[in-house]
Amino acid sequence: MFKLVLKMAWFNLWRRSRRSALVILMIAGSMTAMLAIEGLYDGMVKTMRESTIRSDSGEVSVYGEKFRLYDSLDYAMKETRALQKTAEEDPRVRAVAVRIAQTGLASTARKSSIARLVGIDLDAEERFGQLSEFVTEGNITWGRRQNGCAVGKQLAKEMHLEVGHRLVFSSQNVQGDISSVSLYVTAIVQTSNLLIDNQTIYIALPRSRSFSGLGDAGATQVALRTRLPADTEAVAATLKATFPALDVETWKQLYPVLVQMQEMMRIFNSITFAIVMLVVLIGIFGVMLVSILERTREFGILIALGTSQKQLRLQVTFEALALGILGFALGALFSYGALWYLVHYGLDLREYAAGLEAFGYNAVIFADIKLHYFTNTFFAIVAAALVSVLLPLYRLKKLHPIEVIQS
Amino acid sequence: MIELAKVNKYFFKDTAREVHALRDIDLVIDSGEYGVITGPSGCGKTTLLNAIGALDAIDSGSIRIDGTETSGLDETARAKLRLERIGFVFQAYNLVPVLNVRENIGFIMKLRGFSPDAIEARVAEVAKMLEIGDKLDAMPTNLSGGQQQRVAVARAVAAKPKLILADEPTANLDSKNSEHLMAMMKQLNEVEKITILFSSHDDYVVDQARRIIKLVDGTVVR
Repeated sequence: MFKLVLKMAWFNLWRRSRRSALVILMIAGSMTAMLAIEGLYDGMVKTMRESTIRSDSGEVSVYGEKFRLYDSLDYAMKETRALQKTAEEDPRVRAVAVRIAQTGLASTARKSSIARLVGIDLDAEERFGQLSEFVTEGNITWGRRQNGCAVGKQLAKEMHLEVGHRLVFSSQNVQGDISSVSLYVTAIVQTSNLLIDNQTIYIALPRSRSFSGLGDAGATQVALRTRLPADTEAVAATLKATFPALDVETWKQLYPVLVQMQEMMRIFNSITFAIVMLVVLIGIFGVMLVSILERTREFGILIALGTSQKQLRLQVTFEALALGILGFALGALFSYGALWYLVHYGLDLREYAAGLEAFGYNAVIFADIKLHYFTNTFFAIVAAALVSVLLPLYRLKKLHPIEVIQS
Repeated sequence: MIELAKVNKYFFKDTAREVHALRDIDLVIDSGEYGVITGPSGCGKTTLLNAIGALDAIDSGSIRIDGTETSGLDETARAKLRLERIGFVFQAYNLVPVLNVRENIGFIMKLRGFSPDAIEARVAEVAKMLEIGDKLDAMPTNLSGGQQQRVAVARAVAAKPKLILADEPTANLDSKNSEHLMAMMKQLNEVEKITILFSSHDDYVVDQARRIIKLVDGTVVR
């Protein structure tokens, strides 16, 4: 009997094929739009989070106490060898980058700007976050005389700097003396991290050590990449316990805006999800209600013949579920296609690049794709289909066969 | 055996529009009877048929089918009774449009849980008897009115109910199809020993019945 009831439900679904097809397309269309938006939101936040972690904070960063507060070499770490050794020997840590950052004035013949000179080890940065992938023009090389530099894209734009141009950076060293270094631009970098894009000039770490006066063991930041994101808190806790005098921070503590943005996107996605599911629910509800009202006589006859309410409930519920699941299947196909495209080719917003990059967004937004987009949507559509038949089933329960037979 | 005692049925009871549709009906219909309920329009034929078929509740009195009192049953129990003991043939055929003839005929048997082999054999048997054996794979929309009504009769008969109630079964058929249908139903009554009760104003149907129950204003007059 079960098979016959399902067969009746299936064929009833296609008695008004255009109407059923429209609802299925509506579900598929809304689902595709919803998942594309969700993927883009997630992709945007993921890109920002990953580029920030890769280009600056790592999962965990260690600074001299009060360095972040005063941004002065007076608070830099004078001895980092023990810290580096501890980090490198920790099996949870996969890469360590030592940096020396100092704020000063970058000048060309025509323009001057506040900037951060950051001394880096190119090999270490490559292991740490593939720095070369952030290069948009030129190649990062320090040159024979170690006076090459890479400049953040917005800073280069502000100072009209291009690859091959020269600039002078002046700052106070750890002894308090003002000194300058002459550099030429070998590369322009763009990371989506405003601190780097708007202010940073990368130079060779040895050059930075001598320029800052911090010597071979000093640094302003030791950043760590963990093998697993889940190890972040534990690694930070270990370092805090081992080096209580240092300022150990996770990326979430260093960039709370990113965490807020993640949360905001989660809320946006939840709201979009709820709206789309409401639309799905109303769509299926409308079709099921009309379908049952149209077939009142048929249901009345079935009841008169002895069909139980349970069998009628099964038939109607199956019709609604079939509508929802067919919509989901088509939607999953469309969504996967759309997300695949957005993951590989992104949403090209280069027309608005200036505005987006000023806020740290990439001009081409790449989507993220996660299994839970599809599983959550599936369960929500099934739930919406089940809820949508409650009122039609109630009407069916109240149906008296005699009324329809006599009508 | 069907026994009705002091059956009363009202519509819009205790309102200005109150209609006393059945008045103190006392009636006994023996097993295997081939009877017709007749009378003028609005006399209560369909109401009486619906009451006997446990489709509608009565306001007072008693209806017993093979000793089972049906008047006090709730909707679920009435549905079970209809499924197991009564076959219905409606004026408008009322076949399930998404099922083919074979599935329509076997529908009640499926509801009652007969095995697929038993259903297949019985469907073939009644379809042959009603001369629709070559239409088993057709959909109801592809059949003539007469053929659809024969499918409806086959559906009612297939599960071997004790009683078949047919409400104006020839109302939508031409005379040739009406005669054909009545001949087949009479044959079913004789071969299958099923009690058949019609409601009809069709003189031909009335003439064919072995028992005539005449209603006037909700009262049995003959």
